[in-house]
Amino acid sequence: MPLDDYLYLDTENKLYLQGAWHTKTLAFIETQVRNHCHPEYLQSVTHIHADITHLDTNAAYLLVKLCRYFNLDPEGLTKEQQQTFTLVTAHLSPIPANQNNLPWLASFGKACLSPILQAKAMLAFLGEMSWALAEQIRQPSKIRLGLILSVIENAGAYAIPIISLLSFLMGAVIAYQGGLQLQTYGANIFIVELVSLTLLRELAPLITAIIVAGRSGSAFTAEIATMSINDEIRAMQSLGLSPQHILVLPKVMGLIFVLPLLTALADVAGLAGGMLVALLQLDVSFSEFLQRVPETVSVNHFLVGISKSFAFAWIIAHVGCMQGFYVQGGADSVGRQTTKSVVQSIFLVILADALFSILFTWLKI
Amino acid sequence: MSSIIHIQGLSTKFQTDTVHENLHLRVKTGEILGIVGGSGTGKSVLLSQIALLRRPNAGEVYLFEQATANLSEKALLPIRQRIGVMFQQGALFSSYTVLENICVPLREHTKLSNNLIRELAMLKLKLAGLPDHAAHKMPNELSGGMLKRAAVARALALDPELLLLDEPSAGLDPVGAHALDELMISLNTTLKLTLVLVSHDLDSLWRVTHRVAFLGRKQVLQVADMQTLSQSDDELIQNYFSNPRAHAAQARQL
Ligand SMILES: Nc1ncnc2c1ncn2[C@@H]1O[C@H](COP(=O)(O)OP(=O)(O)O)[C@@H](O)[C@H]1O
Ligand SMILES: [Mg+2]
Repeated sequence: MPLDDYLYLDTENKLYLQGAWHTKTLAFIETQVRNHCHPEYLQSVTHIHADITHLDTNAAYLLVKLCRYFNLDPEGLTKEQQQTFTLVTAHLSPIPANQNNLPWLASFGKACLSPILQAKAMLAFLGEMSWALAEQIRQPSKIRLGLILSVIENAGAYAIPIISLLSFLMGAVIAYQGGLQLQTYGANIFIVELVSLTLLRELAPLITAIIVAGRSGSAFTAEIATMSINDEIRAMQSLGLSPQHILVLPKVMGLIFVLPLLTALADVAGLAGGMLVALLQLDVSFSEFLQRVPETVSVNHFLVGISKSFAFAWIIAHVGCMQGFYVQGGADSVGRQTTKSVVQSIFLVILADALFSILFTWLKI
Repeated sequence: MSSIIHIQGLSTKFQTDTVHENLHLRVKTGEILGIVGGSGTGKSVLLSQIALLRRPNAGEVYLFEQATANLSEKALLPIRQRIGVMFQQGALFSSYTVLENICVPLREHTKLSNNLIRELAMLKLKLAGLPDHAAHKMPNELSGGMLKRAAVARALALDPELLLLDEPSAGLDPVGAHALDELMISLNTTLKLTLVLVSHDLDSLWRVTHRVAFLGRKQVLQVADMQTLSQSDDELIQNYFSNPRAHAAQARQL
């Protein structure tokens, strides 16, 4: 009874193997073996006779399995094929159980524990950072001005176009949406309060922080994580250099310097966007708008926004650097760690914003 | 005996500098050929040209008696599958476990069932001399020697006829390097694999190779067994073999 191209069962229940048994043809052979290797067909096989042209190790593995299934030795292999067959037989080993695959309860427990561990790591890092900062303040000569300037350049100067553009659009959108409502009451002039309050107090600091977290927080993490994987951090330590002083503090200081400035820029750009829409849609002229801002909007709102941005800067630099140091594994983990860093810093920025709202309401600012 | 690789008049240029100029080389089917030469003489580049990962600027590379220089990318694929490459740094995919790394070529190029693929990967892992527990390790959890073995295992996944190794024993301890030598010899004798290895490890070259090609002055200066090569008249080759380390390695072999 012919089974297929590669297997053949004769009337005396001898299983003949034929053709080229190698990796390229192995998929066909596997299907044929699978299709025909159920007991009713082949239970009674008495001999396995190989008359094959090729046998590589992958095919030999299948042959070994076939022979084990019938508990027979193959006949008719050439000397070389026999060698390959023996080699494969000598290297059989079941795939060990993967201990990394935790049972679901353990995974669940691990998942619950992870935020706590993260919080602990953040606190520990905060401690290290504060300690390094204290040291730095005692020895101001050790401040790395060059590194701080490079952070100011990369995280600050180069972010100016994107932040101006986005805040401008933001201001315009708020003015437009708010203006539609105000128009129905004929209260056009209140557009000034609407735009400046939302922007100065809430949106400008927030959007700036989010952009900087995405632009620079991620870059901090990627830089430090890559260095960590390449053992550069340990090399620094062995040379007596402090990674905190070289990698972390300049970023923290640079960002604390630059984020309030960017926030002020966002304030200005946002107001400009609001002003333009106010003119076009609500007939509020630029001079009216600009006069009304200082009259009705207390400078406190501006200061609240700026003071928040200091905290945001700290959060972004803190999370960005910390996640870089906590990288584990190979090149692929840099990407994962960067994602984690951005998500975490944006989350914490918004959380901090909410806490500030409560705090400032409480303080009646 | 037929040539599995035949390189004719190969030239390689980067923007400003020429790495190979009119280079010729033949590799016989079933042999172990070493490639030596100073740093930066283009050994790695030559290997990647043999692996069809870089096209020569001029000249022809015949692989399995087939001209490859003018083949389309698609036509190169089936030839590439007959060649296994072990890169200088191992180049395992860092997000996969060792076993998954070995599965990658099998999944990509065969239609085998998942179970069989994993079992075959396990077989390759054992053939490369790795312990069972390495299967589920991530590449960054492996020692240097195990990493190289894992890279060999992945290169062997599709049962290639030709295996290219770039500095297999660099950075290994003597035990690991010796074990890798033995692995190469056994792959050559039992699986009839043709091996081309770039190496600076003279002990390994003496022990493993049948012939060695010496790269210098942008060409292959001489191809011969180690004994002949170490007595060559060429100045560059003499330099390479006339230092104390080379003598020591030779003495150990004789
Ligand atoms: N991608 C590349 N771009 C420019 N030059 C290269 C590139 N890859 C290699 N080279 C040059 O080619 C030469 C040979 O490199 P390589 O083959 O890596 O040397 P080795 O013999 O040490 O393995 C070197 O001089 C190197 O600078
Ligand atoms: Mg090299």
